[in-house]
Amino acid sequence: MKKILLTLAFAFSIMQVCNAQLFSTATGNISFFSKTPVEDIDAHSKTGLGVMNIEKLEMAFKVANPSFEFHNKLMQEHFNEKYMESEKYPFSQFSGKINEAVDLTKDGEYKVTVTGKLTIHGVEKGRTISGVIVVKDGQINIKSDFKVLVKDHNIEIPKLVTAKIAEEITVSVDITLLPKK
Amino acid sequence: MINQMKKIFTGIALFIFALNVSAQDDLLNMIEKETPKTSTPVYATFKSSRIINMQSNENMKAKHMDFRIQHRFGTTENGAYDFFGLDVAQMRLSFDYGVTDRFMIGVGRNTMNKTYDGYAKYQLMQQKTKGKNSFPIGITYYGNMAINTLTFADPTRDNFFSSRLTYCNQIIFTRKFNDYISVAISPTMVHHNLVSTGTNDIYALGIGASFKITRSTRFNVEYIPRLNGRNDIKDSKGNPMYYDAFAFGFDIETGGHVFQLHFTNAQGLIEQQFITENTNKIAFNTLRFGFNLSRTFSFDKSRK
Repeated sequence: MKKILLTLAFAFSIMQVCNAQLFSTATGNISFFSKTPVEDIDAHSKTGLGVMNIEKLEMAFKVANPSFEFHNKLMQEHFNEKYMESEKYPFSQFSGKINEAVDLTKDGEYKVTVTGKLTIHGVEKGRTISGVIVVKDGQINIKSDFKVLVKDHNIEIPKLVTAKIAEEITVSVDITLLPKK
Repeated sequence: MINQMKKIFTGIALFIFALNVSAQDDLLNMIEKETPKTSTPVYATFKSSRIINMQSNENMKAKHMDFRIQHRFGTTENGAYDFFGLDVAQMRLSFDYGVTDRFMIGVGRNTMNKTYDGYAKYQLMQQKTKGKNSFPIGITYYGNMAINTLTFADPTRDNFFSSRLTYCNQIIFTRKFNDYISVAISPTMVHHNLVSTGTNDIYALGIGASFKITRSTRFNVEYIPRLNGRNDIKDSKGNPMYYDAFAFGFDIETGGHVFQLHFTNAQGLIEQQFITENTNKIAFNTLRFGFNLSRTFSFDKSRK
C-alpha cells in the first residue's frame, strides 16, 4: 500500500513538472529612461531573463545590471559603480502573479495587472504593474511601462547631479517568451 | 534492499514536491540556475586614466574623448612671497581618444621644455570577476614619445633632431581588490636619446594605490622609485641632481568631470620628466600643489 502511494506520489510529481506550462527567454529587452530638462539618459539591455508559468499565471524576470548599455560609457560606469552598486547587487528582478483570470493557452491580447515583488539595488518593493500580454503563434509577448522612484530603492543621487538624473525612472519591458524545452 | 529503495523513492518524491512549492520564487530560482556565470571586466579600478602623475589601467571607451588640463604649481618653499608656489605654474593640455574600448591614443603639449608628446595605451588583459574566464589582474601597456622643442642650447655645434626625442615604455599591473582598494604596479623604462652624463635608459617601478572614501571621492597615493642611475648626475654641491617622484591627493568626480587635486614633489607631467628629471627632494617644503581636470565627451551616437 505504502509502495503504491509512494509510486503514485512520485508519478504525480513528475507529471506536474512535465505539465508545467513554462515559457522562457534569455534575450528580453529591458530599457529605462530618465528625463530632465538638462539631460535625457536612456539605457538598454538585450539580455533580460524571463520565465512564465501560463497555468499558474506566474512570472519572474531578472536582468544583470552591467548588461545595460548607455551611449555614454562614463554614465554606464557610474550607473554600476555609484548608483546600482552592481558588485553588491548584480541583478534587478521582478516576480509576480497575474491578477486576472486569463487563459494564456489561447491566442489573443490580454490587458493584465501583475502583483509581485520588484527588487532593485537590494531593496524589495511590493508592486502591482500593468501590461499587455499577446499570445500568438505559440509565443508570448509581454509589454509594460512602469515607473520606479529611485528613493524607493535607496538609490541616492548626489546634489551635484540632481538636475541631470530624474527622481522617477521609466522602465520599459518588451519580452518575448518561447516554450521552454 | 527494498527498504533502501523506499527511502530513495521517498527522497526523490519529496525533493520533486519541494521543487513545486512556492512557484514564484521557484521561477526565480529556475532563472538563477540558468543564468550564465560568465565573468565581466571589473569597472572603475581607478577614477581616471591617471592615478596622479602615473598612468592607471583606465582607458577612454570607444568613441569617447577626454580633454585634460593638468597643472603643477611651484614648490611651497618660498612661502607667501610667491603665494606658496601658485605664481609659478606649468601645465599640460591633452586630448585622449578611445579607438576601441581597450585601445586609447592621445596627444599632449607640456610647458616644461616646450614638449609635445604622443602616446598609445592598450589593455592587454582585463581583470575579470569570478566565474568562467575570470582573470585576477589587469595588464596594460603604455608607450609614449616626446619631442622637446626648445631651441638647442648650443647652436654652433652639430645638432640632430633625434636628440630631441625621449621615450617611455610601461607595463601597468593593476588589481581592484574590492570596492574600496585598488593597486597598480608599473615597471617602467624611460629612454633619452641624448643625455649629458649618466645612462640613457632609466628603469623605475611605479607603485600607486587608490582608496575609495565616498561614491564620488577617492584618496590616491603613488611613489615611483628609480632602479638605476640614481646618483649618476650630481649638482654643483655634489648632491644628486634628480629625485624619485612622490604624490598624494584626492579625486572628486562630478558626472562628466573628474577633478584630481594633489600634492607632489615632481615637476613635469609626462614620465620622461617626473620620473627621470625631477629635481625636488621628497620633503614637506618641496611639495607643490597640482590638479588634473578631466572632461569626457561621448561621440557614440549609435542606437544600442
